[in-house]
Amino acid sequence: MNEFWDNVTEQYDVKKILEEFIKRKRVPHAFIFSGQEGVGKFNTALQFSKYISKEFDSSSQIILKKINSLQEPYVKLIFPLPRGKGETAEDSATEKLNKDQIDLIHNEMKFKAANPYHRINIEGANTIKINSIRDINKFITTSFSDIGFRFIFIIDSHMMNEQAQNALLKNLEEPPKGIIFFLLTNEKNKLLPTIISRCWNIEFNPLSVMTIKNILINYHSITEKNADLIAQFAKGSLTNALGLFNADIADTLARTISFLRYSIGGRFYSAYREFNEIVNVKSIEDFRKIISFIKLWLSDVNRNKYSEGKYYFDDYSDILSKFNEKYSKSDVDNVFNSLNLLEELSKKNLNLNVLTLNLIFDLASLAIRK
Amino acid sequence: MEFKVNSKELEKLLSKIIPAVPTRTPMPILENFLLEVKDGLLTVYATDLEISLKASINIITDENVKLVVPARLLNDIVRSLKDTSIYFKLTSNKKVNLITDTGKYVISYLDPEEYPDIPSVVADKDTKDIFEASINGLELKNAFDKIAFAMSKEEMRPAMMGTLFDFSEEGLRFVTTDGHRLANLLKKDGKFSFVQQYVVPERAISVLSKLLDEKEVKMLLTKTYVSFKLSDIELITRLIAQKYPDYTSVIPLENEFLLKVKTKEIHDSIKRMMLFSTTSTRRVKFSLDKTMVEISAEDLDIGASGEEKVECEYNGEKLEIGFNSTYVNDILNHMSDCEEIIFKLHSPTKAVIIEPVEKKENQDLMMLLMPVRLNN
Repeated sequence: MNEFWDNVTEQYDVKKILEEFIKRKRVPHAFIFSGQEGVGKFNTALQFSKYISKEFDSSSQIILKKINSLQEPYVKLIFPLPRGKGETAEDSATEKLNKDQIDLIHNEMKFKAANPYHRINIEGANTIKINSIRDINKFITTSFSDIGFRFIFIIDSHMMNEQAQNALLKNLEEPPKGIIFFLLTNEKNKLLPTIISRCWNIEFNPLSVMTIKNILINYHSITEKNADLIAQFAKGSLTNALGLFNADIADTLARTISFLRYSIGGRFYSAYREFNEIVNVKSIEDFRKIISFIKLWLSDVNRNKYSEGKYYFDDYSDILSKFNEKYSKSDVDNVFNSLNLLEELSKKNLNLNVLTLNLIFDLASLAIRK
Repeated sequence: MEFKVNSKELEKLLSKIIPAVPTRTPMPILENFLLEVKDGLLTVYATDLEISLKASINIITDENVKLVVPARLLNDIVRSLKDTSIYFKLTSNKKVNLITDTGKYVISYLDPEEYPDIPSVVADKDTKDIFEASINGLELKNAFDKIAFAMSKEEMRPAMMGTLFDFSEEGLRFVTTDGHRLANLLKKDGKFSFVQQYVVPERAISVLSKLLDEKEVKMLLTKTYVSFKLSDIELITRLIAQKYPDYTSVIPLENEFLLKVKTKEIHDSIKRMMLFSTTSTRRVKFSLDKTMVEISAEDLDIGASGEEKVECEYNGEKLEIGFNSTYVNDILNHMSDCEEIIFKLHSPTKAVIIEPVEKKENQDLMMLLMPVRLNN
């Protein structure tokens, strides 16, 4: 391994594939890096870019530093942006934004340059605008023959609407020499087949619990006990892990358990009240997070039934045994499927109250003794 | 480290450089000037990565330094000062103090390493094929005024979003087109020993146009960028790295019917007919006869129509041809200094050439316009 790959945590398969391109001196002009959030797609793209520059263009340390700090014209960063007041198709992507929004963008880009695992978060930014794609067009048609390689990172590329994706297509088809695209996404299915077929697709794996734990301890000064707990529930994603850290996971787990107790015990109003206390300001993300916790609890139930290994809800293992004693015939798999359905439905902008009530009644069905 | 400059001199310098500073850019570093003090010369740079501007003034100092300061803040403070001396004094904590007789202003500065590299054509010794050309500033400005309007705004064909500089033995030809019309101006005063084409982006043309004066402009041309050296400022622009479409193939050769009209008369008439043309098509109809051309327009949506007759000299068959009135108006706007113009036509579906009757010395101007189909 080399200095660039050393900066990429895990992702051994990905590194192997990319290394092979370098060895064969044939690097494709466009990549799709897919996989869940917080597994290092952006960082891998960034390190790979530096590797390419060094290997094929003998780029100096200054240029590598500029790539690292995401400076144009070496790197073009495209990400979802909010819409400006009175913005039309002719304006540039940032022209009509107000000063606060521009300052926020500057800050977020600074954070991203300082920490490639940082997730850019701008209020109201829910699409990659077609104006941003036009910027790409200008970027690649302007002559930069004095620069060997220029890299275009499209973060959350699934947030391009169909029109924007079609606009991007032409650039993907025949980019000028030295341009390399990286489309980063955690929802590859939202990209057009025509885009996917023009790029080299690389899947990223979730990070191991150990790695997440180490990152949390070393970079975010989180205590070992807490890090251990968070890493278990992060599902292989650092973004999830940090989200859990901010939400005080121990408290959330305790509340999830009491919500389960109320639901299964038929105390629906208490369950509903408890749930609304966990889910902040009716956030659909929080809803999904709780569902995923409950799913983990259900898998613990099954593990306990067949007395297998370690539990996610290790601190609450006595509850698991009690549950299995009392409701030995409950149809856990069926409830699990219902939860999957609810999770799907939550993506379709359904009323959160309706979803919550469905969740409570689904859980209550666990208590039916046949 | 300190140096002294006159506020009015600096104001003049900064006001010329500031157009290259982008607003609301995702790259905050570009909202700064790069100041370089070297061998008694203060050079100010600004860039938006596409175009870069640089200009210098003499100052008295023995030291050399480079620093990056917020462009608008510096420009605004210098502009608001009366005629006085400003001492720039650098302090150790990355601040620069601007001291005048009556005031002291403190601005933070950044490291020059963070500022993008400004291309320098002369220093770029490795680049082969550097060509040189020079042209009078006013001539160049005049050329831009005549042809810049026809540049395309359509991103799908990036080359057409710029102006073609076509150097050849004939001289320097400027071409712009958006696929509906084409403007073509040949400057014959300089002959060139090289045959090269360069596509200069729209932004460079519009910024340069405002800077040009009667002095000579020296152009240094490379494959990647073109530098325009004016007497007191240099503009370096990156080129559009796409081949310009072969414009010669769309210029018809067999347009034998000639229509001669007074520019002002037909222009006034077109302006009035624009009021009656349908907003979606903007169509006007020319019905040509030997001595009279009838110009008419109709807006079916509001049930209004208009027609006018304009005297002309026409040598062809009777012909009806439609145009987009906005495009005709644009072309006539840019030919308003010609007393009479000639339309060269062939049929209602073939491109029309519009030229001045009296050609200027050393300059050929030609506009080309595609007709629109008439329903009948």
